[in-house]
Amino acid sequence: MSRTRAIFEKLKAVKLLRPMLPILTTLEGIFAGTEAVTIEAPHIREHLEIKRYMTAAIIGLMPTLVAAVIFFGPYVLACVLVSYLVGGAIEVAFAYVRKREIEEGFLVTGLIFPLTLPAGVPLWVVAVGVAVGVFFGKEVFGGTGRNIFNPALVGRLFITIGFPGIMSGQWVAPFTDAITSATPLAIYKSAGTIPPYFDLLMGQVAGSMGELFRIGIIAGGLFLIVVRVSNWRIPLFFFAAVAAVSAIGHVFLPATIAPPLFQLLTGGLLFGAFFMATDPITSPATKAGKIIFGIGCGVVTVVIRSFTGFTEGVMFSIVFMNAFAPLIDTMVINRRFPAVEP
Amino acid sequence: MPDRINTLSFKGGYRFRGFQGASTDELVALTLGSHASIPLGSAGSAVVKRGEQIDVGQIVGESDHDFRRLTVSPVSGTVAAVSDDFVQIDCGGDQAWPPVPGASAEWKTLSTDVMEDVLLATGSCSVVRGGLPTRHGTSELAPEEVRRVVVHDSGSEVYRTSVAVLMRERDTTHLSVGLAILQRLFPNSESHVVMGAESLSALPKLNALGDHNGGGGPSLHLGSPKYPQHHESVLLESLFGEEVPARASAVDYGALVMDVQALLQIRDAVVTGKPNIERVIPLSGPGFTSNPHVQVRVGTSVERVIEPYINRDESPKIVYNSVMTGEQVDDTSAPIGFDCTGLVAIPKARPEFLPFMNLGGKRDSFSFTFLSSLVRVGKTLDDNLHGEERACLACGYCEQICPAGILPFVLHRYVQRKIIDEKLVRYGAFRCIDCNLCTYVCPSKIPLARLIADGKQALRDEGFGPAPAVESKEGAV
Ligand code: SF4
Ligand code: SF4
Repeated sequence: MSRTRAIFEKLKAVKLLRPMLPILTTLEGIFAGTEAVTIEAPHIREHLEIKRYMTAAIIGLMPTLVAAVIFFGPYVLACVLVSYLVGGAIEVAFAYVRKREIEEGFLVTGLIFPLTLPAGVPLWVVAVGVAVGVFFGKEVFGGTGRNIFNPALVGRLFITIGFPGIMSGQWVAPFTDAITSATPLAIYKSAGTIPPYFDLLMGQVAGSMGELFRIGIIAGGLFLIVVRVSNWRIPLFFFAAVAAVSAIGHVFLPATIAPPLFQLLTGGLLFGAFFMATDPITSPATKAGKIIFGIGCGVVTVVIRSFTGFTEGVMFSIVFMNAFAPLIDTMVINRRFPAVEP
Repeated sequence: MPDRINTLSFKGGYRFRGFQGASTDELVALTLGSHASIPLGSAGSAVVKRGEQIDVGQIVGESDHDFRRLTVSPVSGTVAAVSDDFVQIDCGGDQAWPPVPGASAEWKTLSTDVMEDVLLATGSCSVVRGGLPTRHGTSELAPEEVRRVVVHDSGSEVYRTSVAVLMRERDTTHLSVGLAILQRLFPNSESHVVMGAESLSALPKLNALGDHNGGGGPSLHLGSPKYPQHHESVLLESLFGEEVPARASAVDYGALVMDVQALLQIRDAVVTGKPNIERVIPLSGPGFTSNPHVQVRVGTSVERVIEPYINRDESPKIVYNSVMTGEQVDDTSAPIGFDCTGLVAIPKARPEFLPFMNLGGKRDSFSFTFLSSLVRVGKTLDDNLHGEERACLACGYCEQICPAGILPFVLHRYVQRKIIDEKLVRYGAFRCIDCNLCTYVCPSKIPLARLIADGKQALRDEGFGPAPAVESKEGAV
């Protein structure tokens, strides 16, 4: 037995710590791995586990996070820390009540959530948002794997709707302290101008902390696809649908519907498509379902961006499509396995 | 490589490569112990009594269950005990095998009746799963119903028998003679040989296989390196397409499927009169100190076979036949059976600190999150689950890897919730071929294949038969 495991064995034997057993087991799993072995065929198992799966997702988010810190300073890290602490506390509480181990999915949610916020957001809003997201987005459904909506998005939407003043007026462009209420999409709507595409790619426009450094988002997103942690179908069809709908729409309503390339490179589209729409739990599991889901997200995004009061449609569209994911899967599966005629 | 080679492929599956402990080309002939335990097979019964003197090749058991089958003794000696499953023999005397009468090096002059008699008497009819068809009722098929003979090298297993070793001290003609004999026995059949790239490069003369068949000759195919290419139904489907319902048995295809060792036994029986008494098996896995092939008489205990090679410090788990589908050997006094294709020693995992952060240059994964995706050699292997069981996160790996084209993550949910009804049949539970890949790949460590197998059993208990034909011909959406 390894030293690490021996320490945990001792801790677990302490009576006083008995109620904390699920938490100890979680920590033991992190530090020493599992002791479980195969008891029947197949006698070997592959090495990927959920912890590593989620770790890979976090690595994919790293360029985005690092860029955000460079753009907006250490305050970004404070937001991430608050998100992890508050959300983590809720996870631990539920693990304690349910007497189950803490699930790893939160490690990704807790990082994605603050990155969707504007840099001027107060810390208490981060705390409220992540709490609502984890509690109502995930735990009330029974935890990771059972939730319907992406928890980070649930939290994000709650504070968008709950604190509209804070959320719409706190946009900051990198390296400026000027708080503005105008993101490129809003500027397009009011003035019809488009910032240089290079600025969009490098993130030198106003927007939420994580959505700006688009080169890094693309790199991280492709990394996740290459290592098979996220599936390529959703982002690809998401982008294709946005491009197609806006290309056609822009011809007929140029003032309302922004042109395709601008649509793709602005707002939270890249971030949402690569990191949130691909969340396997809340998107369809079947291959065909993922395609339908991606197209749906794309169409709804353009519609919201163009025809509603919200300039940013990505997060709404993903949550909206999350609701249909189980239905899409059922339809796909029933088509693929037709009922036998009696 | 021959020009007219046809490359096989199928959807799903997984290529196992670069694992430590692959067997070497060393071949060790193992001497007999003092004792042998001859398995009688399912529903077989002994035809000898305690105390009787037995010679090598003598018939000790028979079965008429489903089809006729004779078991010959691989050893000579005295019957020590007889049970429902085994004939135990205290070995003694001359262990050389006397040729079964009728066999002849001039096999071309033999009538098919004589060949059939020899094959039955040498216990060779059971080298093919489902039995080798003869006029003696040794198979569900009659000889004239055989339309295809398929020989393969099991090339997609994690660990496999080296065809080069099997062919050592033999001539490639042994394979072509074997095929020619089968052609004589089954005049309505065509022969197909499916080999992995490894076997083909070890046997450059394979493309001369047709020489003894008087023109027609067998078709040579390059098998996919993906597991489970050699699984009967995957093999037949990739060779002949979905002409019959998915997951059909070899009988539906009018096919006889056998491995190289079975073909060689058929040839040896007819040409030299050798009874079916021994196996060449690879000892694979890092739990052995070295990984030779051993030539061993059937009935020898596993203990005796592994004893010189097992690494006791690792106290490895011993698996009979396949890592993916085989049984763990709990009692090493159990014998090597007529069906043995190898023994694998799987060591225990070493304790580690922060295992999920390991760079993983030596770890196998379907994902590309380990360095092993770049360097594909020297992968370790152990019996650890490598993670805690979690709820399904719908990653889709099991769907991508399933060779049966079904959705393991959907099926397992039904079984877990104890929903055993026509939905389970409709979603293809009976199309599962028990390859166990879904369980291997699941990052949530869910025993998917076990749950699906339980589901199938529960369905049968409730009177649902295997899936009817109409259901299997869907196009993938
Ligand atoms: S591999 Fe496991 S976690 Fe992934 S979809 Fe299948 S059952 Fe779910
Ligand atoms: S065990 Fe069955 S369900 Fe699982 S991968 Fe193999 S065929 Fe598919």
